[in-house]
Amino acid sequence: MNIQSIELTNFGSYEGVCSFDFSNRDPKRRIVIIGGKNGSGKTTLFTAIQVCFYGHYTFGFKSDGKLYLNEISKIINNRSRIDETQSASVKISFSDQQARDVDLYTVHRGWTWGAGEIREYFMVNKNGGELDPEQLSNFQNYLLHLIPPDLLRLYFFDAEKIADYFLEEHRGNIHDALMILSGNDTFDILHDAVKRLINTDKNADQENAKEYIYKRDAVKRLRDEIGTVKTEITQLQKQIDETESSIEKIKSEYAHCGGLSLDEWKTLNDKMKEEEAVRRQLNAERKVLATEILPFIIAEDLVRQVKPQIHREKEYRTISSLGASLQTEPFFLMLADELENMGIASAKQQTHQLSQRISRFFAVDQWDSFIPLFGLSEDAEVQILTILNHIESNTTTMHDCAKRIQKSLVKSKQLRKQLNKSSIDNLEEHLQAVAELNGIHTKTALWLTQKAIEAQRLEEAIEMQSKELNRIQKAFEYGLQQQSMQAVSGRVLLLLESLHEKIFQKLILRVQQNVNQKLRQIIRKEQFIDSVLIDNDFNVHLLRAQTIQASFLLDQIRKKGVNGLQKAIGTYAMQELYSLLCADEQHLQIELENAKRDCYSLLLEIDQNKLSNGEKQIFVMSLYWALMQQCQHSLPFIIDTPFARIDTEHRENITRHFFAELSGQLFILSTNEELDDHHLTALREQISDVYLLEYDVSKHTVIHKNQYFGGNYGL
Amino acid sequence: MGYKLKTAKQTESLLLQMECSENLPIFTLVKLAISVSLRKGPLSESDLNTDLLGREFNRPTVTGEFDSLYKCLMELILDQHLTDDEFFPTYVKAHLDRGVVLLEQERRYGNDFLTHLSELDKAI
Repeated sequence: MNIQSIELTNFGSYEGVCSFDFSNRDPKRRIVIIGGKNGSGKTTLFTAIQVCFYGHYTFGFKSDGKLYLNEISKIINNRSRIDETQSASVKISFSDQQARDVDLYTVHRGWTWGAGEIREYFMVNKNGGELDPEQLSNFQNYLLHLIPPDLLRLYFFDAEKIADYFLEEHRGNIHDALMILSGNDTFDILHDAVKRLINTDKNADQENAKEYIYKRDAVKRLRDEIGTVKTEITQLQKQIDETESSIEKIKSEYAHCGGLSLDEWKTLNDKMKEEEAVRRQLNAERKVLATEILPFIIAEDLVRQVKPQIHREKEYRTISSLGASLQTEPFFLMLADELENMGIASAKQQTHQLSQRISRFFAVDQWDSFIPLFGLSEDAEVQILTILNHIESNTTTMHDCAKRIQKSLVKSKQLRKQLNKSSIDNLEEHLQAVAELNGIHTKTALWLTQKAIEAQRLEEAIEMQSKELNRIQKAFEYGLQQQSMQAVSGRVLLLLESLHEKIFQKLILRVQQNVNQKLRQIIRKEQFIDSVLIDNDFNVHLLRAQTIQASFLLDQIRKKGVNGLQKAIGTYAMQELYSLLCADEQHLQIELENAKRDCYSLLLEIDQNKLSNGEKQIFVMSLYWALMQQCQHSLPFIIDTPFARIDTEHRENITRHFFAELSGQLFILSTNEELDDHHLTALREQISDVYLLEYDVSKHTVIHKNQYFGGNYGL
Repeated sequence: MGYKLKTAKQTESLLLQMECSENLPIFTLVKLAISVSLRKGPLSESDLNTDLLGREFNRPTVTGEFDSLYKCLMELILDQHLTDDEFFPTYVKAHLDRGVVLLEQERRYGNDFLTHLSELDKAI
């Protein structure tokens, strides 16, 4: 991240629009020097940058409520504050490189006021495009992650206050700073998440378990119940089948013994009567036939002769009549006349021949001696022929009737036999038995229906309860999974804590090495601090090697014991002693007495409170530098009052070994009594811009580019 | 033209017996009797001289609508034309009296009288 420009509008002593341009292209030149006497606006600039990026976090507020806006109100330029048409803002442009992409951001936070209220607006432009609300929120989160509010004071370094941050305030600051700077804060995030998981409400799981067991038992009871009902249904069905079988058996036995039901008996009788009726009918028909047809069947041969005789007599009559008509004198005379008229010669002779011929025709033998037997009239002939036809067509009817009567007799015989075999004597008893069984059947069927309904109801209840059980089971299983996860999470937690410890120890070691290294570079005093040790709680122990007389040690241990000795020389010296003498607490005195050494060189802890302010400052700045070396991001540092409490002697070392070796863009806000030309010269190769702030007579800050206290400053 | 005839005494009693036993009406029995007689063939002298001590029947009762046919049948047997008076009552009575006796004989042979009568030729 590199700040390209800062623009302040009506902010503090910056009246109107005041801007700084840091858009230099040389990556080596990363230090911006902003000089100004006290009250010129350096700290205001310092504050403006923080407020622009972090809003209410700058002042330690968790929200942009009234308290925050009150602070803003104090910062807004007094003169413009009167005019409600005016506004105040801070606009910072910076570039940020992620992988190979470089994004250009412009962060613009401003305020308007009116009717006693201050309103804030916040906009971010990325690569020329304004971020929408969601993107804006993400950007703010990104900034907060990059430099968390807790570490603001590390990047916005007020040298006068940084010692308090490290030495007097809670050690947790340093621990947190170290973890965030090194990018290991995710361990804490993960740790917290795992802890939350472990601390999931256990009561809910117990309730789920109880509910599950209860519901499971309920379903089981229903299933048992339905099992019983189904067994009953089976038994009832069996009973019904047995009853039906008994009924059939009784009926069969009754039938076998000739027992007939009333209906059956009636049916048989009816059939008998039917047959009798049929026979009566047939007999009546037969009687008619006996009168009309049978007589002529009896004399069949004779009857057969009647028709031919009638036909012969009829023919005879016809021939006779015709002959009689044709063999008459008038006929012949007519014939002769006609022939004569026709011009036939010898008409008379012809006629005579014709008459003889006709006479011969009619004089056949068969008719000659024929004497009609019947001599019937035509009507009588027709009548007789009709009767004969009737007889002919009904000849077989007689036989058919006889057959049908015979058949009917056979059938009647069978029916009679059946009736004779059967009996309805025991009908009443039989009906009673059947009725009794039917009663049992009906009752059993009713029970069966009721049981079936009950089974249906239970099925539905089971289905409903099973669904409920399924739901509860899932919740219970989920709870168990959570417990399993908790068990796993417990192990994860231990692992995290173990890893955390290892990583932290590594970090501490690195910081320790860097602090020692930087301290030696900066401090001029010899034998000031021989070593800096940082424990797991990030307590910094300054150690100095000292020679201690063996007699002193023995004296202390004899008089005050091991604990007394430890109080006198410190924990680390004690550890060294144990290590040197290869002894433990119990045997330390003996070993000391047996050691036959006059003195020991031990690292004694220095009381930090006995350090001078300057020494403290140097130590703190070394610590700060060591911490910032763990930072994985390239972020700008803004240091106000860089040489607070540092004497002249050490300023040069700080310039060379502190400012010059801090990575990332560095803004140094300095008074004329701090960074002077000499220091600037030392940093020359790395300085990108130099500004001088002046609070002029019109009571506002004026920005002079490329100027410092000594005048123009050329780069 | 004759309208009534009187049967022989035997004829009357036989007819009454058969009427009861066969449950057939008289007018059926007389026709059956005549037919059975016609079937036998020409009458003998004695057949034509039976007594007149029996029942009197009307011509329609005896021959009914088959009067002309019965006449033809008798003429065929006789091979001679019969006058109406010769036919009824003379020849009809003769055949009736002979026929009833024959009928009574046939009655003894069959379970079913009418069936037996209808199968007289088959029986032969």
